[in-house]
Amino acid sequence: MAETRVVGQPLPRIDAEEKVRGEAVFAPDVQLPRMLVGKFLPSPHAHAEILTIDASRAQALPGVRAVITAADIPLAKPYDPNRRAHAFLARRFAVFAGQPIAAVAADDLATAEAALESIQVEYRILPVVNTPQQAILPDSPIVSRETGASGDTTKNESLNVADRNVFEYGDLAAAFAESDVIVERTYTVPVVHQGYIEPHAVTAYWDQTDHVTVWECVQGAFDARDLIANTLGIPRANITVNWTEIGGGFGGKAEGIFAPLAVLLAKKARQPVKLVLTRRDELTGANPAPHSIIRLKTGAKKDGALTAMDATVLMDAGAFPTDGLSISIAGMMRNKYKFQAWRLESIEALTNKASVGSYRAPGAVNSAFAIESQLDEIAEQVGLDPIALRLKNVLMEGDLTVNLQPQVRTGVKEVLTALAEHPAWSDLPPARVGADGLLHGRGVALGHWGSGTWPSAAIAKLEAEGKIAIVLGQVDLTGSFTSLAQIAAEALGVSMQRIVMTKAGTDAAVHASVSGGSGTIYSMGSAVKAAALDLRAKMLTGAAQVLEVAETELELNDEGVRVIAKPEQVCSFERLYELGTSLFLAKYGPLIGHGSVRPKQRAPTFAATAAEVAVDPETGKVIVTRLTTAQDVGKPINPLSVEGQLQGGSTQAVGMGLWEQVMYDEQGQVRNPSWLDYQMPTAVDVPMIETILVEAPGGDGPYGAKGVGEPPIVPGAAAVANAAAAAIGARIYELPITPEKVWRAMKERQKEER
Amino acid sequence: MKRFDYLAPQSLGEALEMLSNHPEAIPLAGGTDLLVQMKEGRRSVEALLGLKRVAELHQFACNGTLAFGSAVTVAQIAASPYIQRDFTALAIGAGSIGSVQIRNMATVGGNLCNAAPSADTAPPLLVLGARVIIASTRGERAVHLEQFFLEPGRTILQPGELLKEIIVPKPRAASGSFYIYHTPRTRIGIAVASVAASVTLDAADAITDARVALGAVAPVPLRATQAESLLLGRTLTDALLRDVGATAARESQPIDDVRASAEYRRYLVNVLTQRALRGACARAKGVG
Amino acid sequence: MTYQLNFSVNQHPIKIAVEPHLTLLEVLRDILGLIGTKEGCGTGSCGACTVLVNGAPVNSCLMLAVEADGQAITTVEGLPTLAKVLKPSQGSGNELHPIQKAFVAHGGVQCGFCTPGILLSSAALLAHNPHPTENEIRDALAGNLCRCTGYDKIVRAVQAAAEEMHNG
Repeated sequence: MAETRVVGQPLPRIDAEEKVRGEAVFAPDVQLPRMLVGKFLPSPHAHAEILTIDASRAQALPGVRAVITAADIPLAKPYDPNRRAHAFLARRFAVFAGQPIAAVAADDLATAEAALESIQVEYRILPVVNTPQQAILPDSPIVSRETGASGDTTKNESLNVADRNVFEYGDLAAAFAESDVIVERTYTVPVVHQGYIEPHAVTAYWDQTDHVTVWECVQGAFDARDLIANTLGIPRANITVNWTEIGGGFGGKAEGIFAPLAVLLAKKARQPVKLVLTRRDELTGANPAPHSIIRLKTGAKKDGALTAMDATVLMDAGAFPTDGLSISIAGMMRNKYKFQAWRLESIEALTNKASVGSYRAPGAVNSAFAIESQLDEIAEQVGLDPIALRLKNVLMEGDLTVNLQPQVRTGVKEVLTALAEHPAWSDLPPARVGADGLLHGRGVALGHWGSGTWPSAAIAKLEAEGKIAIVLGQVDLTGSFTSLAQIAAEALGVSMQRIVMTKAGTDAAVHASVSGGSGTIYSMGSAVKAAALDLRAKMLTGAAQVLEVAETELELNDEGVRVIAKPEQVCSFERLYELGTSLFLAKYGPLIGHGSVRPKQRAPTFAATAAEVAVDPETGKVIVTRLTTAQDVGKPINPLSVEGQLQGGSTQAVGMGLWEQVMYDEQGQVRNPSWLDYQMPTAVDVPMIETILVEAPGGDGPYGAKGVGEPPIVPGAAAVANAAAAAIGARIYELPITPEKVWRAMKERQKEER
Repeated sequence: MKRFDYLAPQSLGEALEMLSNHPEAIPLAGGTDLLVQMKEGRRSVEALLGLKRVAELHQFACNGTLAFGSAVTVAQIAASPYIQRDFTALAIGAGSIGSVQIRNMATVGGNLCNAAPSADTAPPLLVLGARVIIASTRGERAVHLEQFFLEPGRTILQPGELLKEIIVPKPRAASGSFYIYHTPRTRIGIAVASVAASVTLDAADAITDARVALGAVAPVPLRATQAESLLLGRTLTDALLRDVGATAARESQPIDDVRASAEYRRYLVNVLTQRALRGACARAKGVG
Repeated sequence: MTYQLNFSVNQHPIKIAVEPHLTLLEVLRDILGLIGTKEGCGTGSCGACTVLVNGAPVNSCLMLAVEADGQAITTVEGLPTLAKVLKPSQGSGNELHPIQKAFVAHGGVQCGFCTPGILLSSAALLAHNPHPTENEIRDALAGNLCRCTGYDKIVRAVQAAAEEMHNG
């Protein structure tokens, strides 16, 4: 790829200083005069009809300024019982423990808590639909008549079945018949929480003109505006969303599902209201990642060529249906590798749990755990190195995807090869029984995702003092602002120091899509580049006018615009600005560049992780001793930032592999709603994480960049599972791979060996 | 948190007086258990008695015998070279609680009075033969730690009583102690099972005294007395350890809960007892 | 009922009247306006609320403000002042502490929410252990959860700061 000057530099984040000073303003830090504390009353029951709510004692408490229930929701917009957002306050039914039943705004937290305690709710408790297996049975209780699940009663199927789909191709029976090796297993991934350290937080201010201004940690400001508009029937022109710094999102803060509570409270109280979730609220009633049970059967020839795949994905959506997540999980299993025939069935079931949201490559970890564990078993049986098996079978350009489309050029081979040649894999694996008395094993897995092709727009304006401001409505989720500044500097031909990144809320910004789906650099990056190039062209036009030469005789660099043949004839940026803005000296209008894009080309991306573990042979405790992730990033706009994404995603994957699980009891109650017992990786739980940035062509991202944020999490849990299997000599098919599960697996193995 | 009254005594006498007049007041040492319980709605509090200014509770002395006030932090205990050398199990136990931040606030007294079955200072103090001094306006009484715990969350403290001091007798020559706990993550987490052991050896490395205490596997921290009796007069061998481990496992009374199953915990008691004894013996021989 | 609280925050003496149910975290953020210290869990598991009390890291979400009476508190906002105390000849008292500079330079900051707590835990570590090993750094930070970085660049930043503080 072409040499670049600023793009590709590992520059420190432009916002790092304000963050290390503690000056960056996050959503919980917002302070407004007369601001009230908002809190909601969570449903104690996973499934209940709400008979009466008596909030009179709460109303009467000194310091309580507003109390709301579903009765306060304006009738302006029709209620969609299938949308989680519309049930931000339970209407007639509470469908998950933790669902808001009522909310208060009070002068301080202690008063708000006392107010909640005084609200009296009469419930008629209903049977709890606890597991997806139970949910799909024809005689299962229904999650709620109001969610309108689309089960087909003629098929004697439960109404809790929200979605069913089948991908089918080829002659499955024949393909299995031709197989020399067949493996069939069932893989289970539990509910996990995205684990952002900053909880959901939103401040709303309903001002005199019936306009509401919201400060929120969301990944998509315009998405957040849409959600408020759709749930409360407020025209978008009357809503301003100012996105704040965000303390992690990972998909769980895509659209700000708690904002309507704050908005309604603010409207009723006529004072600003700040609502911040507790960690308990997060772990019980936010929007975690889905539990899934995948029965997967694959076949291969003895040379390792994959033949057939037959899978059933049962996904637990929680109380509200998703937008095709279960279908995606099924499809993804097939989309890395070539098969002659396949049948992939997905069933999405509703249960009485908080409904799921996105978590960094939604569903991909569920999918990868299944297929990547299974490929490991196949590799063992056919006697091939696991990476070699994958290289043999990966989908190459032109091969059919599960949607029967031809695959585009990807970097999958480069990624696998780079990892295979890295000492993390090319070195001999550790001896299984170590001198340290621990069992050692090494495993690898491949993951994939895409690059988000999102409609995006940006403005570049020439500012005073030789600065160029890039004005964006894009939420800076992952440090993208630094990379976007690098893109702008590169496109303009100036130094980083000239670029000023300006955050804009929904009033002042042009449209930005959600920061997620690995689309910020891929899409907004192109818009920024286009805006920068547009501004550059206009600066040349303006300078041509000033210097009285043709544009073709000019060049632009960090000093300004100069005549190529006579370098002493320069028009500085300051001068260009003055000539576009000064009342008396202006020769042209203010110089502004626009960029507006909708990327067309897909750019699937691949990441491969190799993990080494050491297992205590008695307690079953697993320690990760080495972790290496290779990823095709196209062109790393900022390698420091890209490495950080790989390391962070890999660590989340280790968490899913070994410790993380939201545990429910039979009454739909979360048994571990705190970070004491929902265990995420700490600094002592992971080693240094080696990263390999692979640069393969493909897609139409700026300077060859591809989506980076999501792929790193995808293969890690399977890599750890495969490493553990090598160490233990037995395989575990349920995440997380806890010491107790390892102990049981080792016991089973010992029994079998006798 | 909800509002409550706060009492701030400046001396032990004042604290006991206040406790006598306000029996509903709960003593607050580090707060790392109490405040969490209050925030999670598991404990309703009308008044707290802050112990920060009560100097008697922060004293620390080690001249052979170890005596320290109940408000001494576990960080201080874990960092003490005397405790690391002579009361190793206690240093390890204190050092295994939470994180640096928690250890800088949490106290041994709080750890004991909270009476969680998994309290990390309890098994070590049990094997080290600790006594606690309980004070009230009626006077003081000394109680062996074995008698202190009644059930999860409840100790023998009566209304108006405060845990004042913990006294650990000077260990005999050629003795050593150790503590080991299991959590799923590398270090951080409430113990799923834990074992403390203390042994005294004679010149031939035979065990003349042995104590084994189990944590997180019974309603209260528990001495495994049958396991202990198997060790007397014997030298440590693999076969003996297996017997002792199995016996300790049988003495444990674990439950299934969100952290682990009873079956796995019982198995862990076996494994950890063996490891704790090996550790204690190594310390006794001066090689640990 | 309020209590008179006399303490120092980032070397400034502060006298305020507070209700006893407020935690030190709430007083720092809501009354003193020092928003750098964050709440991630409120129950002592994440360390986002870490402050130094007389140089020792604690979870301010579990400390009552009244119990900070007479203590010296350092929040992230006080790190530049701390740096000036360490090296009086340098800087204006607003210059970044070496640990802050290292986090900026080495990619130790992503979303930044855990950062204030981690900086203070790191500063406290380096104050009593100027040459920590990788394991010692990880142990010192085990009470500070980070979900973004995977800790790698954080450890490297602490190592770089140790180096700079030793040589500088």
